[in-house]
Amino acid sequence: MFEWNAYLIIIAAVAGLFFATAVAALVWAVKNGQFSNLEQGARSIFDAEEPEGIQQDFFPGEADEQRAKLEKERRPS
Amino acid sequence: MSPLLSFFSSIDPKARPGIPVKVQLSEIDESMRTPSILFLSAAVCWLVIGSFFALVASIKLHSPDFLANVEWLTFGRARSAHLNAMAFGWANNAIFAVSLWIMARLCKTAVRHGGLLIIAGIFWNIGVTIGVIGILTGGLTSVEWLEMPPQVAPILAFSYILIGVWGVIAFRFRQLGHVYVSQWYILAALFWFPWLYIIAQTMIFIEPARGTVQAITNWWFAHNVLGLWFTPVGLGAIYYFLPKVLGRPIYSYYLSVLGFWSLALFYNWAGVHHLIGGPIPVWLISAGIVASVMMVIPVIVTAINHHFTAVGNARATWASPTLRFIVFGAMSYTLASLFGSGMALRDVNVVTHFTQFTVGHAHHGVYAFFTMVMYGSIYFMMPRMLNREWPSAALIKTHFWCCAIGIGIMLVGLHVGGWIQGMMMNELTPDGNPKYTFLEVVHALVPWLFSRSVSGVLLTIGHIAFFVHFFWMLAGPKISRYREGPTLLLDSIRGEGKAG
Amino acid sequence: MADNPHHSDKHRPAPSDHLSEIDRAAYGDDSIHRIHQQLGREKEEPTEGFSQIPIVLLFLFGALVFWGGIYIANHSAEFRYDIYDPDWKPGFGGDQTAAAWDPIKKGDRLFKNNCAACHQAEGQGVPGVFPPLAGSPYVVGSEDRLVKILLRGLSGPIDVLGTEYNGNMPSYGENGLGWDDRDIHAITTYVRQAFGNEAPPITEETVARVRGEIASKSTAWSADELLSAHPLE
Repeated sequence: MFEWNAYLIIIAAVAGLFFATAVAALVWAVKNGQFSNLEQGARSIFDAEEPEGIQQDFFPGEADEQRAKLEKERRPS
Repeated sequence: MSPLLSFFSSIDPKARPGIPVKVQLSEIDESMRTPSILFLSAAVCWLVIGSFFALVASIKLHSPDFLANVEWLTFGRARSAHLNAMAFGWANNAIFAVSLWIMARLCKTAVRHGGLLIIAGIFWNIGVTIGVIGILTGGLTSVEWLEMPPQVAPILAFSYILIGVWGVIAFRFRQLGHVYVSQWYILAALFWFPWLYIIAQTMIFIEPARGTVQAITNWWFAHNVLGLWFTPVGLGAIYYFLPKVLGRPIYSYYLSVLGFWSLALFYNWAGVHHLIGGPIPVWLISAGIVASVMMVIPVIVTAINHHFTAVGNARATWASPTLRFIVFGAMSYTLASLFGSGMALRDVNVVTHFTQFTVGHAHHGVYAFFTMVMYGSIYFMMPRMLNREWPSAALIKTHFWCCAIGIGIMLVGLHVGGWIQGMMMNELTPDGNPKYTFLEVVHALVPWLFSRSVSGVLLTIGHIAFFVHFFWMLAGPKISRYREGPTLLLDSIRGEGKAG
Repeated sequence: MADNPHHSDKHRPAPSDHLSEIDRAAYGDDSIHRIHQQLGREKEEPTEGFSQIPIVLLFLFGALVFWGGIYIANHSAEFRYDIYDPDWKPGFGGDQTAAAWDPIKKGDRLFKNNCAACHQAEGQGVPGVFPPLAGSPYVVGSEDRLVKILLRGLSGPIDVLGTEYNGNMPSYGENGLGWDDRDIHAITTYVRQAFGNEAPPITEETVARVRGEIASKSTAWSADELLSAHPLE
């Protein structure tokens, strides 16, 4: 289809574009303030349905038992 | 509006007046249900099929007479069928389900037009099936990780694009300003994989590059599939599920962002260390070695983050099926990556190259890390999508222990055996000749290879337990709850809200 | 959730819309109270989502980067495309001096991996099954005969040092494993000088000549065929 050299240039160009996209993404993230409030960012996965501070997953049939144990452990006695 | 235009605008949730933009997690789970379950069912089936090929290949290594007269299952074919069934069948299907689901949840957007996703998923699996049959019938190529007949590449590439684009669309219309680190990982991976696959197909099959450039491309691809496709999705899943299940934020969010960008910077270079000693310009190999060692930075950063989040929560971790698998995966990631950096050093590589050590390392990364994380993710997703509980805690425990012990045996066997193999192959007599003949080395390796078959049996038992459990859950009654409530803490609220 | 200035409530609906039916239904539920209690307790604990990078790590990463730079400087061979040796230093020139060719070393390696399984490590063979090489006239005798055996293989009955053998030796020539002249030269020279044998070496030229002479033959030799062309000395 192409001469070997032409083909190399195409690949290099696409690779350069790819790299440029990565740089653009980083620049966007900084400008957009993605790195400005990291503590908030870490909490963005929690919401009313699956809130912070609540264990979300137990073995089926063992939830109550395990939850009680966890509560006991966390409560300062 | 033309049909095409109205289709594009219908993707955008803003375009629909009257519907609340920010949807609830349960609604997202609902919208992802059919496509996710299609992908996961296919993934679980491929997992069992791939285990069968793995067992055949493993047994053949120490008992060459096993199935020796079955043309379709010669070692070369069974091994390649195993690799491709696992990589393109199990791993990719699991990635599609898990990454799109996490992406949709973090973007707070329900997936519209899930039907297209289903069609693309069906085509993907048809492509993989043709590819694996092509391998079994002898149509395989000689390029590791790309053994499927090149004719299936267009099907795979095309259906991939139709699948991956939904992650990008969800990201484009995200309803949360903040981009969580899992989104970074998954979004980048969604772009990295097609880039790797298309370049490798082009430079090796469609318009083959000359000479050793093919080998360089091959290992660039093979190593990056692990590092820039499996790894980011696995890490993204850990970063999502670990804090999510524990209900506490990640130890240091700052470090997680640093980890992502350093992975993006270094990993791409590392693959060339597979060609240490090979006839390619030495600077390229040295650059690959340095990049492999630099991977210590993202790995340590990630390790600190994962382990400091989980530490002190041992009971909580142990009480959750999701976290058992995920924390196992996170620990394996740290270990496997540090081993990998070590193996790239010339002095170590001279022993481990061309030995079972490399095979052990590959399973360390793909199984002990990636696959375990995918199991954990699936244990979390399924109850939320189906609104019902996993039927049996015993089956989950069987699955966990078989896989954990099985992979443990395999890793010890292959790492120790591989190291002995490498030392024996390198050992010289005083006049500079190899001390052991090749056959002696092979004989010394047999017990270690046998231990791998034992681990393979254990893993297969675990996979079958998972398979049975998965389809039992799918086929189970609509709502089956344990007296004390389901794993999902707020499910009772959600369920009643739905019903009322 | 994440409230940064650029995305301030752009897509966010009014608070009343924001509470879905599910949320509204849930408010007032006992379990929600329990959750809030737990949340309150949780907040008191020092769970910080943000902690600075430990200083030790900065030193470690600095050291790694430093090592990387040194390594690249020492092992990149000036980024030349034609250098494969990691320890190449400027001034060595582009040529890699080939290791001195030693047919005995090479032959020893070839023998251990290809011949020793039958002819045994010391070339003593197995009486009645595999003929010996030590002292065998077929090895130390005619050069052409030995090269011919290597290049086409040998099958059928043969008498070696008074013992009758009847087996097959595979070919290392075009109809078999396809070794080049150099390897045949190495292995024949090796077997003629190992195990107490003391015959002169066989050169690559001899191998090339014999190869040309028997180009039209495609099957293994029988002992009779060989002996009629090259009788035992």
